Amino acid sequence: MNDTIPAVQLTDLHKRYGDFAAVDGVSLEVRKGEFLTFLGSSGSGKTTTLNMIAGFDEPTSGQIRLNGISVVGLPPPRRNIGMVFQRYTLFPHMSVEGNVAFPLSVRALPKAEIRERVRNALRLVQLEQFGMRRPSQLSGGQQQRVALARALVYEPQLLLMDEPLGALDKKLREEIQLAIRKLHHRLGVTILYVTHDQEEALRMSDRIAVFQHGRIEQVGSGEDLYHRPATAFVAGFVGNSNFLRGEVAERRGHQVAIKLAGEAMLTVPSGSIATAAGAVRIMVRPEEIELAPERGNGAQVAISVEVGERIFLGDVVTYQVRTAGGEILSVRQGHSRANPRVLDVGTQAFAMIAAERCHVFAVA
Amino acid sequence: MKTAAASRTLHEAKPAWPAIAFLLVCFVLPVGALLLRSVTDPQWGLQNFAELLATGTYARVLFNTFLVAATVTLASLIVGYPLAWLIVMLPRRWQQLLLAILLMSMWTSLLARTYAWLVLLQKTGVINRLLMFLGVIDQPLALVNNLVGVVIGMTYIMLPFVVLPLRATLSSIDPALMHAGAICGASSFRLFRSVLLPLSLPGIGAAGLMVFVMSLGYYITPALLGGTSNMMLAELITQTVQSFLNWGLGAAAAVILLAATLLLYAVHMRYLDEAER
Amino acid sequence: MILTRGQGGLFRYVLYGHAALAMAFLLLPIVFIALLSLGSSRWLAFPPPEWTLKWYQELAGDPRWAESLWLSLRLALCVTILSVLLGGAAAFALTRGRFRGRRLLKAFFVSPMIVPVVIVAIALYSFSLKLGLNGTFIGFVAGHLIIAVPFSVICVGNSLRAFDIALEQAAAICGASRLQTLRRVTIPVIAPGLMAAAIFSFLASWDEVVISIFMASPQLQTLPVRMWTSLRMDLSPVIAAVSTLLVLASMLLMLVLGLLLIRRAPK
Repeated sequence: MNDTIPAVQLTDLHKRYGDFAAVDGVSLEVRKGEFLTFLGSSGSGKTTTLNMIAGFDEPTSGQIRLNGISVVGLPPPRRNIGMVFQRYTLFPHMSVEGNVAFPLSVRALPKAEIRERVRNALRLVQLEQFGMRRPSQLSGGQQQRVALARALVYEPQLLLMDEPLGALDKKLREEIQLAIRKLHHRLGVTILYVTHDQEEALRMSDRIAVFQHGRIEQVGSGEDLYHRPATAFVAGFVGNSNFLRGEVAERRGHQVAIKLAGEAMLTVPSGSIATAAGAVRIMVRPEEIELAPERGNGAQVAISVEVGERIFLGDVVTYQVRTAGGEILSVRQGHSRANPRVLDVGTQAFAMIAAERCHVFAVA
Repeated sequence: MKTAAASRTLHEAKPAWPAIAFLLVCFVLPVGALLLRSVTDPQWGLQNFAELLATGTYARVLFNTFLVAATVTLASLIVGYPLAWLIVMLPRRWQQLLLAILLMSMWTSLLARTYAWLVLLQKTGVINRLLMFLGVIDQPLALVNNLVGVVIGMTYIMLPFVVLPLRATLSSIDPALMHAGAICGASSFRLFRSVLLPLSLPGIGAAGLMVFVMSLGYYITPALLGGTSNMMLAELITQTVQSFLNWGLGAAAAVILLAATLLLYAVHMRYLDEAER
Repeated sequence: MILTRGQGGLFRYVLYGHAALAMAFLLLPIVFIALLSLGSSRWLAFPPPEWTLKWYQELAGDPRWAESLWLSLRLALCVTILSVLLGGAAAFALTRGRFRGRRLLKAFFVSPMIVPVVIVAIALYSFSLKLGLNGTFIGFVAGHLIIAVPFSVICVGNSLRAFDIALEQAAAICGASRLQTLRRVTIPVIAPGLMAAAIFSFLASWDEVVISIFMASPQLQTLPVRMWTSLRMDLSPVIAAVSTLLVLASMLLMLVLGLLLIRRAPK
């Protein structure tokens, strides 16, 4: 029965500063043991939401429940959550051991038990030998691992991570992403992760909540967001995308015909767009566009384009092509022995798009 | 809404209340009361100020004070600027040695240092005897119990207060500028005159102003090294109050001193902004 | 650096010579006093006919100097503690508090440093005469505290401004109450600022002359006041002995502090 209670439940959460709504009606349920990422650019409300869950900010209205218990009004020290901050925030005047032992000594545990658990925590992050060092003697990656150990040593139900890898270089970041993922598998602790890096989100999360303007645009697995984006924003934010302008021409039964700039017509099932008429935006992924010198046969929409730029990346070739209407499309084609064709700059070609590979969004 | 903000102000400043209360009672109140006396003692009006500025003796004191302060400022800048420059030039070891000597001088008891000069500058003291021995003079010079002694003593005290900020200013000047000037063919002196000096002018102004203001209100050193016939403002204030019990006049002198001090500090703040740019 | 030592020619030597003279100027009085204190001449003749320790003996034998020393120490200690508490708390309000007029408040706390000490001295003199606080320990403490608090506000304020608030958030998440956070995280991390505040406050009180002159009574004289009254009366070499001891104390303090600083920065 305990497994059905969500680890975190946000209900219509609002945070207003005067007229400005930093968080504007956020509702979310996080399952126990899930790794869920808040993804969005700065100012999207993801960090504010995390701070409210941690208890550093009070919501203007709305409910926050941790394991079914409301925590609004409960100060951070009593929420029994672990947190890793952006700038490590290790206590500079304590050794590594002292830092990790701190939450245990605050809970007045017996010294022997503290020593044991600190040792285990440091082993977990592979820093057993570094116990006596000071934070200033550690590298950024090591400091972050100590911060992790400190957050996990008191076995919290929930671990919050606020862009913890932003200050590290790419290679180190990927190493620690892997380490965090492994820890997650091993411990089964619920993790709420905040980042603006969509690749990081895709790499680590079970589900991703995409934030914009204080609201969650969509929650889903990486695949959900990539293949079934709910809004144009999500479509553009997660993965690479192309947007074409179009206008609803007519409805024929269960299908809607959309006129693209340059005469081509796209037919999509009527369930996939909300508006009955008017301007729409069509999103298609670069790898879903087929580029060929001749118009293909098949139920695909063919748009005449001119090849503007070509970048050869070994196993992939990317093109920037321009339509007659002046829109620029990004095309990505695999390149191999079986598929060696490469088009020159300036070539007239056709960009073929399958209707079922498109996502149509109303223009807001 | 104003009362809400006001009460929030009071609440947010809570930790500061004890300090605020203490300073209000023990500092603002007494000083305010004193300054008030300048126009209320013995009766309402500006007679105390009139007396101060019009009477010869008092006007002379004001004049002496500003003269000494200016001289001390000039002297400490002349002695201190090259010293600061050298400190910036030298390698770390020497820098630390010179700075240590400066700091030690600053931290040694003011009275001990003034006492030393009191003895040194006597007619039968070492300096006079040395000068006579070297044949520079025939008669011992009156170096103490007059403004000369005060200037010497106060320059000594003020020197660290000039060298330390000037050192900061000079070390913030990009050495590449001097190199650029040298490549252009400028001699050392030209470099100094046209590049270093103008760039360090804000710092000089700031340090000089600070020393000037400090010298204006200084009590100890002028009282010990000066004579009774040419006292400075601080001693005038204390004597008027302690010996003559003329609180009104003393308070008026205090007002003048404070006004000059505040005015100069305001100018100093302007210099500080410029020096930081 | 500005003129690298290789260049400069004659000018460089002028600079060196000037610096040597300036350094001699700085050191001369201090050295001289030390030597005087060891000379036997009552009238401060130099060079003295004999070398002796009798002035130090006279100093040790005079209970009034010991009393003054003891008073100065007790006073400085009291003032230090009060100054760090009051000034430190004020610094907290200045850096953490969110209210308008913070700049004004900061100026208010710094104002005792701006007002010439002689004005503060006679203002307090008049005030405490009315309250009967002249020649009392409390009177001294109040007078010195006025001078010391600005130092505390500035030193602790600087430390607090450099303090990363996220450290307190981290402590809170780890389960520490506000008091625990203050005690185990905030205060240890700003300890250098507290230390600096303590040192400056101590020195401010220890060296304070002008206010003390007016707060003193014949029975209650701090060390500087006793030196002052002695200097006004005559120039006995005992004063030279006291001065030398004070110089040595300063040197010792500098040495200790220097060593502490070196130990703190091993990287």
